[in-house]
Amino acid sequence: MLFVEPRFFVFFAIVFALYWSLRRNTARKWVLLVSSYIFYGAWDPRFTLLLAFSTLFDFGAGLMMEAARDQRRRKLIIAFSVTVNLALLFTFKYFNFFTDSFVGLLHAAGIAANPVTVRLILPVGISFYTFQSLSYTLDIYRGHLRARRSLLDYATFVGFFPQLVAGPIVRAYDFLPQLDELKRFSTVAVRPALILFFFGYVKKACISDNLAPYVDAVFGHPGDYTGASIVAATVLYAIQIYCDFSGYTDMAIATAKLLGYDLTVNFRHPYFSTSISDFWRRWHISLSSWLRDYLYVPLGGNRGGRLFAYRNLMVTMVLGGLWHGASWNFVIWGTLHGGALILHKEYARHRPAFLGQHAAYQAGAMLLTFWWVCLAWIFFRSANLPVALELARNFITMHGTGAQDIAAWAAPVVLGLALIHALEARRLISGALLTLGRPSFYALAGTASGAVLALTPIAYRPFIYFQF
Amino acid sequence: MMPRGASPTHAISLDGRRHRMTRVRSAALFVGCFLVSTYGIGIVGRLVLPSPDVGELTLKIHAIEQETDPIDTIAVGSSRMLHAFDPARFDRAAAAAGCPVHSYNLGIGGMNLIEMRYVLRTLAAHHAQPITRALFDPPNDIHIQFSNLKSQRVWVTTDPREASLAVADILSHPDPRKYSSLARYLIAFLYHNSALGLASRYLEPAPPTTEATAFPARGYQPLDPEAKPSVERIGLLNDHDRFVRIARNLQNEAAEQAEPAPIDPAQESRRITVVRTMAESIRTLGYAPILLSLPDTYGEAITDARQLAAAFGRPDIAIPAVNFMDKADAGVVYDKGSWYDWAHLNEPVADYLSAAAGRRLCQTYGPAFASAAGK
Repeated sequence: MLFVEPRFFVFFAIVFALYWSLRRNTARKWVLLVSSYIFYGAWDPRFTLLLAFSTLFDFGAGLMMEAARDQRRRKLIIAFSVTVNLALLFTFKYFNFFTDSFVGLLHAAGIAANPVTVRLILPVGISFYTFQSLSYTLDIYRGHLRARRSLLDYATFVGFFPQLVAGPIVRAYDFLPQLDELKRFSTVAVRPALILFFFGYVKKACISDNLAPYVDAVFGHPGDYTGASIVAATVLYAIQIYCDFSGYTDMAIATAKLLGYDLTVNFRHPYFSTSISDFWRRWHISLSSWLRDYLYVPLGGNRGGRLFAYRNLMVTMVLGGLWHGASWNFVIWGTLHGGALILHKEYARHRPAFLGQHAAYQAGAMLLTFWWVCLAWIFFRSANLPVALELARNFITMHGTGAQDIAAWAAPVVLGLALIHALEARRLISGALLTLGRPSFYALAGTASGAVLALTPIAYRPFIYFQF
Repeated sequence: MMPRGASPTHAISLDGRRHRMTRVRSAALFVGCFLVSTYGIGIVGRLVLPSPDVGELTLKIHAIEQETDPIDTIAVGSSRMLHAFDPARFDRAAAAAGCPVHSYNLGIGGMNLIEMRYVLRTLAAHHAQPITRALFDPPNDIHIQFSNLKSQRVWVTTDPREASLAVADILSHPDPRKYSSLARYLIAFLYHNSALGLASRYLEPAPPTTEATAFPARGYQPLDPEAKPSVERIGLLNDHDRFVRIARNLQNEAAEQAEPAPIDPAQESRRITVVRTMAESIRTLGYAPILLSLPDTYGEAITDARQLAAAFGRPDIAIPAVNFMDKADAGVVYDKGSWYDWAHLNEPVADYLSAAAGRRLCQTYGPAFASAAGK
């Protein structure tokens, strides 16, 4: 079930009406839990078993850890919890990759091996809820959090449908306290939530999904296109993935908000970043902060000198790349970002202080950062490594081997979108909408909602991050 | 300010009611503006924007260009026409009767009345000349499957300019499912004439241009009962005994040895009006319409074809009509071995019908039927 599908609107209308019609918090939580499992089961009912297992396992691990008297026992429990969670993730996410690679290796060594016929379907959102669940047990182990006694609370936290399948990755200490209070509809900021949902819908359905066929065409047959088209398609992909993912997040946050819950901000206009470090403070914030807290810091973080910190940074980024999937393309994507982060940190140490404030410098830094991010996206998007390398070469040299062109129409589209994005970065659009009187707001909202349907594609495309 | 004498509870309840009314008004405003916006954009967009080329319906029109001899007669209809009209046999029989013609089979599986009008309009835009006549079989009723809801063919069917004819067509069929068909059409109409999916049809990358496909046998697709059976044929073979019984009854009805299946006179009148409208629209495009009622396997079809032929023969309509569900053909078309499946005739019967059509049209309408090219 996608947020942009009509059936989601029907589903949410029922959940919303039922949820707010109940007066007791426990009953409301049951509504959230049951609707979350229905939402998740809409992909494949079997996936709910995995979600339930993951929930029960970490709930139990949390209770046992808190009951444990000595540190050694706590350590054993957390090791077991992390191992089981990662084993689940690895089994479903990397099984196909490793079996294929193993068979390929045997073939290369001249040993005949039958291809493995068992294929595992990747349960949607497994990386998100596994990380969310892991952070809960890790926080209990570190003593940052008390284990929840209520399974209903914990299961609602893991399965909360607005953010279940593609984040933002919510921390238990942010979300669980919200379950304790009985929400009042009068305190819900309905208008900002509607505006956010609308923006999310436009980003996903009207921008991302309409750009996708053009991006697919160029990435599918790069040899047919001019150099300018390769550059244009890469920039369009950057827009596509941003609008797809941040559009999903906007709709997730808005949906949660309409139920009285606050989710973490996941994007802060990342393409206006003036460095890669800045980019990672603005892009997929919930993942980058998770990786920082549960990977980079435990690896040693900044402790132990510069070189050691750089090593930790690179390991974190490469593993962050692999989190997206088992492929060399993701490894290269992570390496490009890790490398750029290290380069930037080194550069920042020597850069004269006055430079950073200069407008022209900032504009140049923004363009350079965007260029690098786009280069890395090529590896993220391409079907395989040879295609990625060909596209990256064409992107850098701006030279293509084909005659087909998309750059002529893409340039004004990109500029138009950048302008709208810049206006909204200053909250000029949503701010203006919030100042409208009630009748004007709802009349405009109705008209705009009807109008954006004209730009909604015929077929729904799944959110890109569902596959992760 | 609280009215004098009103209790605080009363004031709160008044306030609550006012608050609820404001919410209801806001929701009504939202929904109203949403509907005006989405249907305003949808309908105006459909009327103003050029209709996209629906390849499934126009492929054969482009294929006509591949023909070396100029086509002067086309046969348009659903799969019944596709599998029952052999242009070569038709031409030979007409020529032997003194009316040389050169025909092409424009039958398309599942085609309905609105799609047929679209095909003919597109044909007229591409081939104004030398096509002079169009043989048409009253097509299938409009019954939209939701699995095809978003298809381009349903987009054609739900053209708002054709809405009144589409509704009239649905209501004119003696089919018990017509109210279900009407509901389905309404849903499809609301979908395709809203803003949803409108502009995106124009935003999608154009499909790569392919060479125009040439259709063998001038568009005709014979059904060979000896070849590997289709799912539909398997259905008939599995239900053979029932089919034999039905075919015998139909044969008696067509041969006027049994009472015809009754059709409500008001409904038949609507039906005649719809088919006549179709014929008139063919004439408006510059083609002479000829009604060719091809056989079907339910009793009402026989009654319907008979009444259509009678109505079209009236001086105020005077449109040539050939009915293959009558006495003369009953023995052949309702023979138990004539049918490939429940809706389509097999190749030998198609040969018979094509030749009979050519011969009868020439004999009945004389030299007027011969093409200008052939004269």
